Amino acid sequence: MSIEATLPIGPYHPALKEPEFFKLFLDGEKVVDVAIRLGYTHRGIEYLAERKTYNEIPFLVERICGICSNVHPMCFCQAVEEAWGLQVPDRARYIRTIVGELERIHSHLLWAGVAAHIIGYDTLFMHFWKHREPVCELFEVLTGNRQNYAMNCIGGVRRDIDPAKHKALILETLSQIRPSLVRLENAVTEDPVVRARIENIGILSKDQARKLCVVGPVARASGLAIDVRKDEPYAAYKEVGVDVKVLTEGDVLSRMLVRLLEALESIEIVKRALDAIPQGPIRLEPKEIVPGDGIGKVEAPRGEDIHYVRSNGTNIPERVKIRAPSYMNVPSIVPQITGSSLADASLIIAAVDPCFCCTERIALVDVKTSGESSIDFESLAQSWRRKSKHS
Amino acid sequence: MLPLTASSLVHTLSNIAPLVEKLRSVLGDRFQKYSTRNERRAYVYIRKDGIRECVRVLFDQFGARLSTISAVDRKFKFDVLYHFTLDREGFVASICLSTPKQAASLDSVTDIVPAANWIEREVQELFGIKFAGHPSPGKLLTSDDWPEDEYPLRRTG
Repeated sequence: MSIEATLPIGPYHPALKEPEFFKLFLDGEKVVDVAIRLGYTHRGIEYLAERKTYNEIPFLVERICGICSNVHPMCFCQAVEEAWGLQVPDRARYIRTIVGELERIHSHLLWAGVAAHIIGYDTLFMHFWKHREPVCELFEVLTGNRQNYAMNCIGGVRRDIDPAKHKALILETLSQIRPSLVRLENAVTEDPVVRARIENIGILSKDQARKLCVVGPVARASGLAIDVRKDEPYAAYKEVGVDVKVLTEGDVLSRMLVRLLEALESIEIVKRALDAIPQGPIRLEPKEIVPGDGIGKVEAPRGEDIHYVRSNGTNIPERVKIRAPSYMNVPSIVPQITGSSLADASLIIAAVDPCFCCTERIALVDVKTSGESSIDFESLAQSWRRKSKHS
Repeated sequence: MLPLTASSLVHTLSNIAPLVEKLRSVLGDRFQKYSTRNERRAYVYIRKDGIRECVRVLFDQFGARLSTISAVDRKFKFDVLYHFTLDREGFVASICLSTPKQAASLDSVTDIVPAANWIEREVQELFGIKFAGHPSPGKLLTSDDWPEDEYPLRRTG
């Protein structure tokens, strides 16, 4: 096996949350190795967080990610609440659960749409995004924003869910999208063309998944039954329960199915939470800043998110450490992509859900002649579509 | 050594105790102390030369998952916390150790837990703590022209 050419993909557009750079080493059409580099728009959020007050940080960490923007502030607040020994009111825990699960639905549908687009099935892509839209509109009503909801604060949440008008609206939206999601899931599993395109590619074995400590749907599609909601129930998950979806094949199809099944499960969780939500206050005022350590853990749509906070008794934390789920999942692209065909590369990278959905420059380098030319991500996706047509 | 806080309770919890006892017997005098806040959080304090044995016990014998490594600048030394998640038992074991700021160095555990590869490189770049024996200690986050001896999260003075 020889390396004939290298194909750099990325780095991403700075507007996206995780700009990365993939350098594929090719032998003809076959990928023989990949090198990953990140940090192109390192924003120094941990540095900033150590210079801001506790009240300001939830708004700062909300900007880490535009897709799962509820996850980071919720995780940070849980870490601080643990360090200070705060017991969040029950109603706030349920509201956090409802917002978290609605966010999972829209995030998984967004990803499924991107995956459908990459395999060249734009009808499916538009259907996924069509049914994601009502969830974003629901967020606008509940929180005032489609993204960056600013719902969390230390000690609870900032806005209530009105039992009179919001509950009926949420239930109506969910009952409207549920049958469509079931239909779309069938479109993925029963359509032989879609299946042929995503089955048995980008395989990550259970052993590799454990060694790389991957999290979230990537781990669950490879047979690792891990889910923070079940293993360390936070918010109201202990009361409302979670049915963790685990598949064993470890290919792109499994990752797609895990996400779709989770979106359906999220609908049920929201319904159960709405039924059981207790009356009462939605936040408490922290009385004192207690020195100590706190760890917050949240199951983000992409997997376990973890924040570590050390409080020194002042109104500015001594240290805030943030580890987003994709940081663990992106290295798993290496074993997945090695040995695959170049045309599968874009889908395998996207199947980890690192928010790879913007067009970035791709330079083709021919090692023999050192000549360089540029193509964009869309052209790479095109090469995949051409391959599917011929096979 | 991290300060013990008012809310740190030192008691034995059934899900955490087996791990702590195992670490105590494997590490001997390199095991310093441990504290728990609740049934989900254990902080185990060890001497820095015991980290590789400690990680072997956690990853190979207890099936723990490396969640991340947090470093904290404490003026003359760094506190380093290895957060391991034990999913079945439902708790996070944070292995805490310290290294002096001058020539800060720790043993790499990447050969035991491949997931530590990026995590150690991040700590190395942002704090300047070297990880001896790391298979690929190159740059991951900082730009190519970032000065060699400047570390963004290290505090000066």
